[in-house]
Amino acid sequence: MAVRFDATTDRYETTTGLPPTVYTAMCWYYISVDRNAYSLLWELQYNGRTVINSPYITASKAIEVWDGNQFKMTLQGATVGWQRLALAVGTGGDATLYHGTATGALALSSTTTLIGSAATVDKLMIGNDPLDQWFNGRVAAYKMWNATLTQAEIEREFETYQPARTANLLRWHPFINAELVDYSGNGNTLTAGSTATATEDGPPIPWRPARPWLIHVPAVGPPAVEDPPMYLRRVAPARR
Amino acid sequence: MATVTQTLDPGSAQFLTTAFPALVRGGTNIPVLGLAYDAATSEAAFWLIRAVNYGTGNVTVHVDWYADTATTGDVVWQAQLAAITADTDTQDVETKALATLNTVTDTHLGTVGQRLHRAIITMTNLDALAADDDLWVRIARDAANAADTMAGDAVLALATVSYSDV
Repeated sequence: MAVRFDATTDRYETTTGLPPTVYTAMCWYYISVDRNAYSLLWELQYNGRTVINSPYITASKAIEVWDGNQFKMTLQGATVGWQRLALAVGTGGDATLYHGTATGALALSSTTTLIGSAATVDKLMIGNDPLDQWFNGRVAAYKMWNATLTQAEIEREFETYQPARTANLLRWHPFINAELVDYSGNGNTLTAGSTATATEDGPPIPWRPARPWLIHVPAVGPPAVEDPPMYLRRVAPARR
Repeated sequence: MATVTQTLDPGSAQFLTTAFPALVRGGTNIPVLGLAYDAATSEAAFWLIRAVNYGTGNVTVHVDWYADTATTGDVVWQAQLAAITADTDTQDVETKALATLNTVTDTHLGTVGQRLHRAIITMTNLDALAADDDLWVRIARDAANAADTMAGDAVLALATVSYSDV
């Protein structure tokens, strides 16, 4: 399942468990109703309502990141179907945007410096922003680390709801239910907007990877029959 | 002679990009992770196992399921196999087809909607299964079947595959 945002009052936000200057955030998303306008997936703010380093879906379904000064890092998205999006920010604000449809390779932007990365974030919003550029669609498997994940790690993380990398995991919201809890264990609970979000069918990924197998192959057939060792042989009593 | 049983974990099921059951997580006192199969659209999930020590005979698939909302009606469960013998079969694994499906109709036993049921599918279409084959198992709800009369989702909580080692 996935959480469905379908109104300006549907949103999640928090002022705790926020990313430092180096981080990676990612999620699966699905456009349910094309608003043909800028729509927020998630957003970071500082100093009240100043928006930084936030990926938006444009009217043409491109993904652009607002860094506090301008939109950067454009990648073309799709209108229909589940899609994958990740933003990995490294030291100095050097960031890479990743996007893909449900299958196949991820497209990635060239590394771009986001000026907002130097700011101290004071709020995270998912599904809407202060300007009501709300998202009309579904979000699932939202994860954030206070580390810059590699492309290989990001591709791996898109394969399951459950994080493969637990080191530096800051928050994990599977959104398999419309709930606010942080599954990372860090207690970074979200706060809901004024209307309740619903759930709808989620992306085509399992909860977790297949468990490792321990295969014990028993011997085939009955044990071989051998002559018993001498100490087990019945010895006939001596005749008198 | 022994029966080999392997579990198919709903949490690690794989899906095609369309027509797949929704992953759901419920439970008040225990976490219940399941795959919610729609009543109107046929949806399928897949697992890959190795048929360790498979001997001969039919394969049995057990589907433990519960209704999301209904207390009556029938659910038609389908299972299909696709077996490949590594180093022997020249079949392209990415274009491998499934064998003909087998089905069973399981009736909701009533009283409590979310009670657990077990549907048992005897797999006679084995796709020439041999010991230690890589075996893909597809489990679906045949929602389009007129015999599938249960309203609402049928949630797969656990499935197993079992077979004889002789």
